[in-house]
Amino acid sequence: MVSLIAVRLVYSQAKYFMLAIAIAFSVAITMFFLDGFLFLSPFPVFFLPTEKLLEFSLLVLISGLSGLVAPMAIYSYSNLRSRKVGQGTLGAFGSLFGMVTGVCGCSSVGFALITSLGAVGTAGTAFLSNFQIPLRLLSISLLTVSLIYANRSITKECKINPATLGEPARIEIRHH
Amino acid sequence: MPKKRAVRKSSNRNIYIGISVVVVVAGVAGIYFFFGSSITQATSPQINPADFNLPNRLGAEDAPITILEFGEYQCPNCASFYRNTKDLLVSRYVDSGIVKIYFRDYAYYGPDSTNAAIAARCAGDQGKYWDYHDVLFSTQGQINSGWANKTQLVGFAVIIDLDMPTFASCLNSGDYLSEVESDFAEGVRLGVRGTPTFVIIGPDGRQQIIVGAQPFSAFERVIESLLIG
Repeated sequence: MVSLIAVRLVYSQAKYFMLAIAIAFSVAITMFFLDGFLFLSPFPVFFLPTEKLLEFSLLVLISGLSGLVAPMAIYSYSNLRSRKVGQGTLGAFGSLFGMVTGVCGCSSVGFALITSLGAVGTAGTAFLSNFQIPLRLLSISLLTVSLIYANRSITKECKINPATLGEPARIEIRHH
Repeated sequence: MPKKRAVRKSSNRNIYIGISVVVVVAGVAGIYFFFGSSITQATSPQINPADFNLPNRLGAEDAPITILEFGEYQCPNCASFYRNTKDLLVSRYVDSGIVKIYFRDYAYYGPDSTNAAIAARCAGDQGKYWDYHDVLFSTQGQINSGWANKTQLVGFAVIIDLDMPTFASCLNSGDYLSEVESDFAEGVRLGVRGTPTFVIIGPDGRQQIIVGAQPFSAFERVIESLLIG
């Protein structure tokens, strides 16, 4: 079983916790809008047809994971000696990938792609639309791998005493 | 010294909280202003319902509210509107003589979309435009996967019992191609940037736009507001 002690360490600090909520919320709002769950004009309205329950659940999962992964990557970049950017890049890619799958060809974004890129835009948006669920599962996989990677690198490089969680000043950086 | 550190820590926390709030607000505002405003401006040209002498109307000719739906037979969002909203809209407002609907073809996914639009008009020649329209949306497959190729379109005609020689002749003649292209040009002129887009015109000519497969409640609010005047 994977120990998520580093996740607890990072999110015991209010700034990372707030950042995670802000990122998850922003990603969710953007994806709900792109995917046709949220409409702003002529009146703000949220609409979840039962047939789209699976798509909606995947979006919620992608938003939550994006919120979890990004602050972990920022934490490890700003606090660890190794300053690995791999997990951040992977997480950002997974999150962006999840958002892009919401670009249906019928939406204004998809239509702009089709009219500006022609056949390539049509093929691209058709592909995103036809394979939306597998692509979202791939995005969730990327984000999960990124989260595990970030958790492992923080746990490995820091000597974490669970009793001191919430007091980052006591974390010791292991000198190699 | 520890006091200073505590103050700095508290100040850093406030900065992070501030940044987080700004990120969220900027994101939501960005979406609203980029998409919301462009959609509203997109359909600014006024439309006079009297200019329309379109066939294939759904609803009474003298219905006070006119809805022009710019749609695409291969568009998943248009099928979503068909499955989740249209029936309620028809039973509440079309059947009661308050609303009439015209479907305007906004075919941009390729030849299958154009052929599907032509096929629906050919079915309209036999008085079954909306039956064919319903068959297309209820059997919609993946985009450009061949579900709306000519062979399939002929098969759909069998389902609703059309006179096949007449239908096949119409479909192959391409007689309605110019009308389908003209619908698209009209949509472009009005600034339609995605499907489905609904232009809802009130009895006094005022118009409201609904973009996307929105719920019935959105249509209800717009229709009621246009009726009140």
